[in-house]
Amino acid sequence: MINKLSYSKQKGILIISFLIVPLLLLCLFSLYPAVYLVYLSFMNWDGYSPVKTFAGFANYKDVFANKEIWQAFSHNFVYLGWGLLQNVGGLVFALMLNSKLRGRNGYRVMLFMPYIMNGVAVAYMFNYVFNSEYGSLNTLLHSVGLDSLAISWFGSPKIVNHVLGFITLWKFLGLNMVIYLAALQSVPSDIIEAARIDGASRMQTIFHVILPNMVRVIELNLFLTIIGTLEIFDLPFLLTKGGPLGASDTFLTKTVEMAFKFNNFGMASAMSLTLIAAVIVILSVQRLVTRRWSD
Amino acid sequence: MRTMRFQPLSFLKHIFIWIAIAVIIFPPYVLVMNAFKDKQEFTQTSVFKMPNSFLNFDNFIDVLQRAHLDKAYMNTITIIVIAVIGNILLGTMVAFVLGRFDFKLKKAVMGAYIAVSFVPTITTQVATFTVINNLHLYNTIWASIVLHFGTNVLQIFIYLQFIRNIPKELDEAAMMEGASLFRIYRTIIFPLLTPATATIAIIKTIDIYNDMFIPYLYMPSRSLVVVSTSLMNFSSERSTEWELMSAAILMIMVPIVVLYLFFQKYVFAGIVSGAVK
Amino acid sequence: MKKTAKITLVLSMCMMLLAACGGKGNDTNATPTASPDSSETASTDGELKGTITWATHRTELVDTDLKRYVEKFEAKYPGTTVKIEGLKDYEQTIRVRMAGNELPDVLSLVETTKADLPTFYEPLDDLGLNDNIYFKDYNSYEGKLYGITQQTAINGLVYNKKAFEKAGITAPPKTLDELFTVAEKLKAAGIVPMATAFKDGWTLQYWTDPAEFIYGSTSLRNDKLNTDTPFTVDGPYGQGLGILKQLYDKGYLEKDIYSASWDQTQKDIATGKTAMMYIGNWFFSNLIAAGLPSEDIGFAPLPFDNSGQFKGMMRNDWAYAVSAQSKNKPLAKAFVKFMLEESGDEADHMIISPLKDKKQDLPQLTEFMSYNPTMLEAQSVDTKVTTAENKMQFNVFKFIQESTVGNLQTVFDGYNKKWKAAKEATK
Repeated sequence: MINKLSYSKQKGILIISFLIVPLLLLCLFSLYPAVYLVYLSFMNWDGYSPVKTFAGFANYKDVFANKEIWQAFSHNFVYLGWGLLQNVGGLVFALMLNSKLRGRNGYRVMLFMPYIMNGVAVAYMFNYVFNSEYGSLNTLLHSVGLDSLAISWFGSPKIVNHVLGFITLWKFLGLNMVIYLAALQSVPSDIIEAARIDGASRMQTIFHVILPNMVRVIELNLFLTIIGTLEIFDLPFLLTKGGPLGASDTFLTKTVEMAFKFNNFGMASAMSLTLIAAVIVILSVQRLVTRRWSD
Repeated sequence: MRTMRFQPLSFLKHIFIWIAIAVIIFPPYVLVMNAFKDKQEFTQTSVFKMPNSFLNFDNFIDVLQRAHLDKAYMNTITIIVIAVIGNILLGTMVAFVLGRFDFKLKKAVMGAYIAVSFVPTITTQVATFTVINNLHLYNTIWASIVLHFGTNVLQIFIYLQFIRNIPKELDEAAMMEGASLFRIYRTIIFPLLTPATATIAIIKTIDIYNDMFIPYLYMPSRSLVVVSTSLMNFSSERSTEWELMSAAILMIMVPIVVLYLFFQKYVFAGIVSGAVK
Repeated sequence: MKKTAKITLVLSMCMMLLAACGGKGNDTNATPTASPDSSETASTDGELKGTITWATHRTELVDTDLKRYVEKFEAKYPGTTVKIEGLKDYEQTIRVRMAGNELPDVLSLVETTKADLPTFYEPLDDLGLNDNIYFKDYNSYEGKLYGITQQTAINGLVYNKKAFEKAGITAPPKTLDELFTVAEKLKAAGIVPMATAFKDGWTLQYWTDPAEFIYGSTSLRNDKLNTDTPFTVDGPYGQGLGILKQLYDKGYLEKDIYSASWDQTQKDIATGKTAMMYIGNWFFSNLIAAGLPSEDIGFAPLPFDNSGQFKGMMRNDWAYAVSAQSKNKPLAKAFVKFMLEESGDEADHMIISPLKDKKQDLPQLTEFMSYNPTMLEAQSVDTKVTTAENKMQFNVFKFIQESTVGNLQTVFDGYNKKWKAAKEATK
């Protein structure tokens, strides 16, 4: 019966019936809470009592006046730096493993392994790697005579965020790699062969044929990386609790602290929205850059 | 075609990858060392020291008894199966609609998915909790299922990327034969998306498997324990039994690793390049 | 086949969601206060029946000891069921559930403003324990009791006797000067004198005790309200925290305090790598679990000056509470009473019962008391103080960390400034 309908009618029905459930879920569990966040950001609320009072822009004013929050946000950019490195790494490994390398299946499996691991397990393991006295890294450094490099990894305010940034790279590089691999395999191989026949070198093929064909996926990975690093929470929360003395606080650990430790949900909501705004700005910059590059 | 002569480039690649693998294996080593130690031994020896015996399975037995892993696996598998099916269906449907048709709200739909991905979920939990509670899903397995059921921007992007590479001529040919749009989705698009589906299914499975946040908050009942939360039997704010924790982590890691080893073939089979040609 | 299955699934999802949405409007306006005991599931004339849930922060005991207590309770009252929920990140989880109006029947009380206590919790006065418990005022409002602490903790200097012996120390320090002499001897013997678990922060909270000893009262925190500059270098906070600071300055704490974690600390004291820690008596059972025999654990008051006078601090812990929303309050209350009176929790975990008539005979406590310390009891915190502290985003762990490693004057100046502003703003 449906076959008898014109394609334009079918199209209308299909669009509606295919989108209704996903959009309903989206509204209930994502959009509504987001809108509620906006509402809360204009209220005074301790997070539990039935009373909320209107605060106007006071929460936002407090966010912008609070130096500690912005100090914490600067730490997120260290993660971002490591995140970009992680993308380069993921792409390089994907390219390597997309070639006819012996044992590539085994390698692929190994490189993806950290992503499979439980977050608590990762935090626990790295606690022992970077512990200054008992840690395996410092034990290793001492044994090869590099004593001056064996520092307090979690204890140095300048280093701690790099350590945490490295751990995110360790965990997520495999995911980036898999997404890049999936994309590489969807690049039609005849285009690549055509380029080869035209005498392009390996590097030329990569930069002028393969990468431009996967701009969208590169953008996707950057998108995930930017959101993931600017909104990082678990790792500093589990590993350093923001220490030493706030040197590894991030914007979101501060936000959660504001909500649940200091019972200030209004300000925590305002902080979340400020963060979202910042993420959007940075994503726009990224888009501008990648688009310019691909053209 | 392929010769066995020494290739410096691929030799370099091997070295490079092996360094990466060493960095990857370094941390889990601690886990393996300590899972076989008893409490005394764990306290008194360095975490890097080999255990007295790799045949000391007491910790694993203890974990089995205390963590209710059987129940945890049942619950986790239930959530994963239903939620992943949901992801695949909804993800392909949304991507099909967005990738093949033009309509008024197309940009808005895409925009909504992108917009919500900006929102850090940990800050919206109070509102989400109210929704779940009002749907009467609190403290049921459905809480976790519905929260994982919907598709997300990552999945839509991956599917869209694949759909763009499926030639429109295939659709058109089917239309010439009088196939309905739904039939095109079901018999052409959906099967051709299989490699993407495999990737998405694996990633989602891992996400759900390791997710602690949702089960903690939305299903605290003991009978709803899942694999990730069963770890918390060995840890509280004032003490953590790390030797048991190590054993437990290893035990819950093994199945997911095996699953991944099994499915990774399908992820990387490269079906699409063949189909597109 | 496949097609039908898919469609069915999609349809049922739709139905479910729509049905749920329809029902949504009904109960959003139900205020938490407005439900005076709906005891239809609870039974009449004192007979206990039914099911309750109990949420606890003691996650690691859920499948062992706590399960045993529950079984004992269920055996005593046949026909009852207690479902345990072990919650990690306990406070955060409960707060979200509070906002969602979904508290378990029995729980560890999460702090609210005093005036909100009746909103969320049920008065426990009818348990008949009021005259027999410590810290009765801590969770009370308008003469009613809303929470009973799960244990009474005495804070003192926990030390490894073997480590003391190895360094040639025969008795724990009796004056502040002796504390430093002892520390020096330990250090010379290659033993870390004092553990802090500095990195984890929460273990430092006990170091405000000396400030209260010096002040002479536990109202120190509340009395902040009377001043714009509560933190002064020569005042109680400066002198009290100064002890920890001196220990740090002289190198008597862990070698790299920023790496010093709670997990490692327990191992190190148990093995004698570290000698002392200022902490609550509940720590004994952790040490024993880590392999230190009970007879090697010493416990003495912390000297805070050179007078030879001792003071000891008693602090409350998480409190048992019953939710105001509970559908089976009689059973919930009976369970709280059972946990306090009959569970055997205090004996199993070497803790001190909050019930005054229950004596805990531990050699360590006998040792502690042999110094005849004047015991101080922690006081309930004024809501005005917590409000102002939250306003200034006062994190006591971080405050102690900063005071220990930083310049006291600078750190205090910063906090005084914030305190003054917050106090004005929340007046």
